[in-house]
Amino acid sequence: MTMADAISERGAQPDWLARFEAGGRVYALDVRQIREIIRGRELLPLPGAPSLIEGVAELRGVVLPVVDLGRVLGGEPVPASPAARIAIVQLGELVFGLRVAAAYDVVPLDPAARDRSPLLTSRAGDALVHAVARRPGSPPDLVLSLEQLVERVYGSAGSPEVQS
Amino acid sequence: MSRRESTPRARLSGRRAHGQIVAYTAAVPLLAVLLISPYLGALLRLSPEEWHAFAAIVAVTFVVLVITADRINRRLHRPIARALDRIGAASATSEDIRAGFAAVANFPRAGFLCGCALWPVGSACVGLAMYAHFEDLSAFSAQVMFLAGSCGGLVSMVFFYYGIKRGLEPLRIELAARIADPRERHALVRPISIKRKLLVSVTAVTLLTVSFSVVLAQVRTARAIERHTTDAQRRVLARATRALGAGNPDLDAALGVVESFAVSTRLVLLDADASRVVDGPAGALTAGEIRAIREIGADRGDSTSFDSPNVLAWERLPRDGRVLVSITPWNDAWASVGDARSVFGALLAVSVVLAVGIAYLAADDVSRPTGTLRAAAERIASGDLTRAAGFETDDELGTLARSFERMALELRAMLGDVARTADRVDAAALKAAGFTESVVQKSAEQAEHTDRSRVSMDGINERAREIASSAQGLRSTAEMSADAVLELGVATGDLNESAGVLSAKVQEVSTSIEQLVESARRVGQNTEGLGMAADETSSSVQQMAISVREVDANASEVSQLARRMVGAADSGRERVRETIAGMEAIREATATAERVIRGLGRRSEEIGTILNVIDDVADETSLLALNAAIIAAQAGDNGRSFSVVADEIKDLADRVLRSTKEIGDVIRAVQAESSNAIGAIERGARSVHRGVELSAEAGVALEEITSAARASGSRIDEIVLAMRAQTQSANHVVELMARVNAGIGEIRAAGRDQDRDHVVVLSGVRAMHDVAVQVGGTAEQQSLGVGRIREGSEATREWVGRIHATLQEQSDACGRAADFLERVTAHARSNEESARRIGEAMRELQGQAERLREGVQRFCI
Repeated sequence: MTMADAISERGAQPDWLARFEAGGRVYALDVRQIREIIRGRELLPLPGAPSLIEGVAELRGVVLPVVDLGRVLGGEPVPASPAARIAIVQLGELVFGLRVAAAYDVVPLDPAARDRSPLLTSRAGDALVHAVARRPGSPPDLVLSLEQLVERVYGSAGSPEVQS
Repeated sequence: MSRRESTPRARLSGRRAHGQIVAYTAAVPLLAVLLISPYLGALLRLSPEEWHAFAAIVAVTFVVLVITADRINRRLHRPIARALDRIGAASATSEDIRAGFAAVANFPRAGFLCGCALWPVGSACVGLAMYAHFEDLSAFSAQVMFLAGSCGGLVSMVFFYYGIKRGLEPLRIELAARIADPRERHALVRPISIKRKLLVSVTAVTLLTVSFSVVLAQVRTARAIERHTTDAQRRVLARATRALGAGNPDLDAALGVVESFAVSTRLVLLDADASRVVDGPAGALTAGEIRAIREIGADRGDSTSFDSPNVLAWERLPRDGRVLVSITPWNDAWASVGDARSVFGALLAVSVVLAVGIAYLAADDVSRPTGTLRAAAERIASGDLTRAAGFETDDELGTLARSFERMALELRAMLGDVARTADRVDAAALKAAGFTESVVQKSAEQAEHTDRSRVSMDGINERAREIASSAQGLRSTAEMSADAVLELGVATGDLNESAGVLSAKVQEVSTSIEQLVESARRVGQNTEGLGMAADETSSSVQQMAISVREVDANASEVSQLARRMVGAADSGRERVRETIAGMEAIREATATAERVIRGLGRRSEEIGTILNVIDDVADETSLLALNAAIIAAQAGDNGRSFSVVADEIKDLADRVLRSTKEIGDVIRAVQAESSNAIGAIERGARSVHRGVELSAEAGVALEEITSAARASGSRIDEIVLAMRAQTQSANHVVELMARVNAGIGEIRAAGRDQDRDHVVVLSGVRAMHDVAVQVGGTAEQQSLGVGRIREGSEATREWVGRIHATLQEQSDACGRAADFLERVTAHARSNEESARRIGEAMRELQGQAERLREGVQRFCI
């Protein structure tokens, strides 16, 4: 089901998810948290930054920190390839880049299909995946919590505002 | 020296050759001097003053020696120019050409030896002049000049040798072509083995490099020793100065202080002007050294900046201004590092021995196979094809040896064919000669038989003549008896007597006739023998004719075989030519194909570049569509129409990406295939090239076969011609024999006629005898009447006339038989001569076959 079909059929305001790939798995983020998606590019190393920040990238005159989603998820860093992308995400005032292996598409999410697993949220503040979206005919998408991601990157020590 | 411009006329100009040699004589040593002199000057650290003198001496020596060398060389190469000029004027004698060739072949070696003698002389002159002119120049420097000049000269003369040899090569070949006999040329050239050339070349280069290295090392070592010794002397001077300043005015006391140093040194005090020795041994310093101390500055200094027999260091005493000099002889300084010079000498000797050893081994590797090859070539030249070249090696000489071996094998096979053909011809000729022998024998026998027949025939004739005369007597008696009968009445008594005489005569005739018949029978027997001999001769001659025809057929077959061989070789050569042309066409076609495929590869690379751009744009479009979808999703309902467009764009971009990926795969496959194709084409081109080479070799081999086959073909044609002549002779003999047989047939027929006549004669004689007996009886019965007597007498006369006629006929037949026998004898004679001629032709044929076989046997296969 394409996005246009979803809009015309339902008429209601669904949740929309943008889907990415990192470490061989498909993850999703709420489109409202995404400003745009750009191609992967060379990063400028940023000395003294938290270890999960790969470096900074310039986007139309603004310098943004970039985080590697593969490493944040505890795996290997995203390999450099023509399909690699950087999703520019926004959480409150904090704008930063999220490096992913590929960006796929935008899909609608039925609120009923959202499965909030108690196991996933049992250790509050630690679960990066806060929901699993099931869609017929395809494997479930893991919906990432941007708040937990920022928490993991910057930890409790540093204030995100200072870094940005 | 430019070869491209040299026409044959220019090459044969004596003036040009002379100019070339003079240029070489001057240019090679000039280059060597220009290379050696600066290096030598820098090595020996000559002062500017010494430099100028050195350059002047070298220049003068060089000019003098080059002029000397040119004078000597002129005498050596004058015959070359003379021979060339006379060839140009077409007045050259063979003596001129021989002298010219000897000079051009031996000049490089003579020039080399002359240069090798002159270079050490020049180097010694330069060294001695420098040593005499500058008294502070060390003997070592002069020795180095001599050594460097000699070694460098040796190397430059090696270059001169090879350069002039190469430069004179066209002349050498040109003059050698005018002396046809290789042995004569060989006697004119003084041989130098490759081994000796390599040994001299390597030794010269090794001597030069090793001696330069050793001199350089010694000079460097000397500098180091000098610095080391000077440092030690400085310490000695400092201690001695302190000792003298502390109130010990005596130099001996200061010497006592310095005894404890390791360097052996002596101290000398000069006055304040540094012009003379005031204390210490006066002879310890030379005048040159004192002058050098003054020039450098007496306050403080050392001898590292000038050549002197001693190592010196000096310092002015602060107390009274005198100069204290520390002196260490060079030999003592050298002693501090041990015997370095003899180590250098040993190094030089070992290097030279090693280099010469390696050069000897390399030269031996070339010269030994060359000797073996030469022996093999001479064996083949002397006709011994039994053995191969007899060695194998990994270089070009090995290839050459294998070519030799192949040549010997081909020759052997060809000669085997020729020998077999010769054997067949010889055997056939031998067979024919045997038949000819028997023909000659039979002809002789026939002639003998004929002679014997003629003798018998002569006997018959004689008998016939006797019979005729008896018959004549009988006739006259008969006449007389007839007369007597007429006179019967008168003398009947006489009749009785006459009848007795008649009876006796008749008896006589009868006996003669019986003898005649016996002789005629013997003639008949002889004629039978003659006929049998003639038949035997005839069959022998026919057999001979058959074998002659067989030989002819064999020779014709061989001739056809040779012609077919020539034809086959010609068509083979044509095939080879066609093959080469075809291969050339293939090569061109493959070159074109390779160009096309390479072009295809380049094009597909370009397409790949364009695809990358398309890929990039599609990727960018896809990304834009994704961003549009995100914006549309964020805008909710308002973004609906926008999202439709975004979906379409994304689809489009994905399709483009898939297509470009497929195209990329296809292009990569095309590139891999074209590189495979290029590899295959290159391999094919190499095969074709090899094929062309092989075909050319085959063409050459076929050419050789054709010429050999042509030679043998003409030989065989001669044989065929000889055989034709023989066949004609044989046919003639057969014809003659047929005629002889016909003659013999006639004789037989005549003999049979004669026999018949004899019977008639005999019966006549018997009848006459009876009549005579009757007459004898009737004479006693005179009374029976004259009529009957007369009747009987008439009958008797008649019978006598018939006998006479028969005898006449017989005599004629005998004459005819004698004529036949005469002709038979003549035929037999001519028959014998023909057979003899055939025998000669056969012997000649045998001789030719023998010669052919001898030619083949010269080759030992």
